[in-house]
Amino acid sequence: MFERAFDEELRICWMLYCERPGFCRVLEYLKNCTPNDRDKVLARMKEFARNGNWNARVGFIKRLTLSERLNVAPIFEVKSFQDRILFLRQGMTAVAFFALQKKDDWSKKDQNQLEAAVEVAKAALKALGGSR
Amino acid sequence: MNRKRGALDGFTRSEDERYAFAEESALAHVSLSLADLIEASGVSQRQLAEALGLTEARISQILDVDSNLTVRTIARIACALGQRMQIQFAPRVEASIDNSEPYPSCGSGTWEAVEEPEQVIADCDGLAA
Repeated sequence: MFERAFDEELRICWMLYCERPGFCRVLEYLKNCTPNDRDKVLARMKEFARNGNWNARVGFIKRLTLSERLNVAPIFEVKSFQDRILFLRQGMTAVAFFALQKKDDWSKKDQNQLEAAVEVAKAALKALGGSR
Repeated sequence: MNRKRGALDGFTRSEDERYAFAEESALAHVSLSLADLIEASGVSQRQLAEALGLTEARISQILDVDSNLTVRTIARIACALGQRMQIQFAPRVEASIDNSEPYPSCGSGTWEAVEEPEQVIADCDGLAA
């Protein structure tokens, strides 16, 4: 289940992965952010998509080593201060599947979040038509 | 005419927040454009730093969206790479989006995986059924 993120036509199309009807982790996370923090994330997501370069060497887009662990499609993150939006690449579509707050001091909670992200990524990939 | 909005288009913004969003978009746009320019020029960050009399760390910082560059710095980087800076303006798309309705519900579209990451999915509208 996927939902289009932005109405605007961008070079990279953003989609949101919904684990079940009416529930999208990314949307729920963003709803709970302050308007200022949320806008920073959304502005970065949009500009990345408008630019269209998956290998952009900027500090706020990163390819994660989580991809190797899953041995599947590339996983990236949009970084905005402590907020992170994790997404999969599928052609010229970015599928946002998880959001988390990452602090400098890595805790058990952070590790649990990452473990959960892996499970959601697997489910999203399955919904996308299987892993490669 | 109002347009159908995406799930993340529905967050309403006060006038101040609209300006903040515009600032953040511009900063991200500049970072991405500079990164693309440096990559296309084939010049390493070290070479660029030397040409501008800066440290490599400063160049990395410049490519970070939080660096809040001045027009002067952008112009200097462009000049060092044999380019000139040019500013373009375009209408804001969100200005035409209908905010009167609640968020659209999740769709249940299916999606076929592509073999090559470079392959373009031309139309993703069908996914959000």
